[in-house]
Amino acid sequence: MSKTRDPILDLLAPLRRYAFALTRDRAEADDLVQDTLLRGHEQRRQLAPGKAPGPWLRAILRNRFLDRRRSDRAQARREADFAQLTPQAQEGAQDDALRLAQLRGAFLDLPEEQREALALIALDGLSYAEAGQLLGVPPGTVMSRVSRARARLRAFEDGADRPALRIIGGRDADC
Amino acid sequence: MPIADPLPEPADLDAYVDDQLTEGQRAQVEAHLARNPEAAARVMRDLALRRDLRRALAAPPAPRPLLGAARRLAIARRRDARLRGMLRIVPAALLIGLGWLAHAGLGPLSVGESVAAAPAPPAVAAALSAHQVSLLRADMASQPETRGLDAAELRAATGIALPGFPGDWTVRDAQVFPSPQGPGIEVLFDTDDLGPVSHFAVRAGGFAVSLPHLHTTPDHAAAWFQIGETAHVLVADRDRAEALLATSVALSDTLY
Repeated sequence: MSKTRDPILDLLAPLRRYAFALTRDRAEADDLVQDTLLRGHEQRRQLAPGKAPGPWLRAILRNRFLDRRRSDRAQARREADFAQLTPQAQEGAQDDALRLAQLRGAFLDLPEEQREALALIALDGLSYAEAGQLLGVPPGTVMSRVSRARARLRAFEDGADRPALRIIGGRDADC
Repeated sequence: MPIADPLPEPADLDAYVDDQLTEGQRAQVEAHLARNPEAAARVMRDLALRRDLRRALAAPPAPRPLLGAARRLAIARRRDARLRGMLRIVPAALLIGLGWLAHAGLGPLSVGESVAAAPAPPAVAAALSAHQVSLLRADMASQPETRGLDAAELRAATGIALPGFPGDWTVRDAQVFPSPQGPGIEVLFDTDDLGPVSHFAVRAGGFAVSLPHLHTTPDHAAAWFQIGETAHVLVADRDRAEALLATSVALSDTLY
């Protein structure tokens, strides 16, 4: 086919990442993306020609996620499982892979609003305004969520041995 | 680059890390960072954090069904765009057509055969009779059915390209079938969800692209669409009409 990649295919990785940030589960994330693409296929005529498909698909994905969660009884159980799983982050991660795994754990442990905002801004490179539109909040709110998320991750990196202690505000003695 | 250091707020540093600033604002923040090692260290750290997060959350290769779903949506969107492009030509073509009519001394309102937007093209009538013949043949011992579908040979002989049929459809009979429009291809399938389904394709004698439409008779449902010079008609029992229309949309997708 044509040489330039289709924008939809380019969106696959960001959508999967966003879905993972929301669901915190790979299989469920991919299932959510699949669902989103099918929805998109059905509703594609709602997207005005020439408009970027990214925000549109992200909005579908987010709505699908919220719908699912509303009807998901297993959610509480999964949250509990997850809480059990995370505090085992160990200190002194010399190993890069281990450190990344811990960072990932810390990211997934963020409150949902912060996790979602950070994923959209830092991972997918949306603007505060774009993310605000998707989330239905003012850009300033997105900004402060991202900022709080980052402060938490910084605090986590500083004190990986005390994961149970939540440091809010993230003031750290700079090394 | 301002001489007086405007001392960016922490929020500005965040916005810098998040790549949300204009060139001018970036320059301001960078000028500030150059004089403020503590803030610079924090920014460097946040940038590293962002990079590490991207690595930590990199997804494994997309599973096949996901890629398939993405491709289907991509193709559908491209096709929609192409269709829109063609539809945009229609008014121009219409004007040219009217001009020609006027030139030919015909009243612009004298509706010729080709102008009337027929609810169902003649191919549908041919397809319905082909469907009935196929069912008849299926029940006759002396009329052997051809269960092999050689799309390449059929295409070479008739100039008709067949769509990609679903893998779970079983060919019961395939034959070249005469029609007023010329030789058509009639393929009878056994399907799980639609029962016996005929696909009839014939050269329509003109170029057009139309989305699938449904035409029902008391017994049968026919979904027809045209892509290029070939008209395609799917025929099934009347009570499967909706599912048939959906199937024809999927089939037409395979022809682009």
